[in-house]
Amino acid sequence: MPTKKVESQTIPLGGVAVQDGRVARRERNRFAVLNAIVDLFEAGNTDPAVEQVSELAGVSSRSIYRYFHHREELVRAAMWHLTARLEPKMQLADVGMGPLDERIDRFVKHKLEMFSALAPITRASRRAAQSIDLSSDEFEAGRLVLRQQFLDHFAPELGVLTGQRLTRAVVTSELAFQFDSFEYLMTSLDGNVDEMDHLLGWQLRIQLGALA
Amino acid sequence: MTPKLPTLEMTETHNDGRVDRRLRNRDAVLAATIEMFSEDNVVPAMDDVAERASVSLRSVYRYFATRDELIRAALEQWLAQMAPDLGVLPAVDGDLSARVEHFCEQRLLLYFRFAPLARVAIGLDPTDPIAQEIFEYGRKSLRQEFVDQFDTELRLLGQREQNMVTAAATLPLQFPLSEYMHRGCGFDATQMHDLIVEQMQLQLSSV
Repeated sequence: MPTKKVESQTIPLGGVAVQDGRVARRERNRFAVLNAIVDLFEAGNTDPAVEQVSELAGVSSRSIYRYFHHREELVRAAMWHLTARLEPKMQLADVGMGPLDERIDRFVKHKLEMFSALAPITRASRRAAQSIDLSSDEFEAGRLVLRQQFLDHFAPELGVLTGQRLTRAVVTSELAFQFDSFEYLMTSLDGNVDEMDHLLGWQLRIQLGALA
Repeated sequence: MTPKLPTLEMTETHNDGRVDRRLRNRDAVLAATIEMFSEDNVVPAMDDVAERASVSLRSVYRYFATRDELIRAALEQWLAQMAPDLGVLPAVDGDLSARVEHFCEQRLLLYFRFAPLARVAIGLDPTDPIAQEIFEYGRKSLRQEFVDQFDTELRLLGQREQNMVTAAATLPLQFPLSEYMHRGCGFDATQMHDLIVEQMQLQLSSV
């Protein structure tokens, strides 16, 4: 009897294994499609046609429509894919370590690099999301990662706060580090990166200093 | 010769009627679209617009070949209607905190008033002339008002610091950042007001 039980478990496993080939291909193709869309976003194409995606991914249009039932589903999936792909660039080294001044400098440098690397793709994907009226859920995941990073990095300063005061402190400190702020401040400073570095560091110092 | 004249007149009158109706219907379509914009429907569906304007979907497409074209035309009309409310706010007298208070209050009113329009405009191609007109105007007038209103304080600073303080102090009043606070962080008008006032004061006294 126990032998039979083991066997009956092996059968469905075998079944899955057979399906796995198909599932794996499906997953591979889906991945190729999403990667292609994100590549097109990165190249500044905010509204890629299915044919373009098909060509770049090496997956037929018919299959694309089979994997994603409509455009909205496709763009939504692409947003999640984008977040996952960008995550390594969002990682900050030595979170929360060292004195405040050092942490501020490291944070600002990291953000400047991150923004420069991600500006074109963020712009393109945002527009793509807007054209089909997506909610901001897809961006929310990335935002939460960054929010947690900020909280961890400045835990010694923020840790003393709770409730409304904490929310306010975080929102004001993060204000200058929003993607839109980066664009606005860069324009205001005529694209001068050194000035930008100085401004962001100064902002964090007065924001976090005001807490003390 | 003589018979031709009445014919011509008749044709003109006849055409005029159609042209009038055409223009009326086109206006109705634009008005319906603007109404939907103000209800925060930033990408209204063509058939919904037709229904609200009481014209056929075919007519809507006769006036506007694509939804993009309709959205742009409606936005242009809306902007023209709201234009009298725009314009650089005059500077007022008073001590720093009274001026900061006044400035933020006025600017926040503008945000709430123009947010539905800006939400539509932000969905357009950033190189679109109307989108550019709306946002560039907003940015420039905000900057100009700030520089005028806080001349006393800014004058004491060097060029570099002036530039930085202006950029940082006007930041929360930029449409996408106000939007971030309001919609992204769920701040209401009072919370936004308090935060923006506090920020502006902090910026102006930080150098």
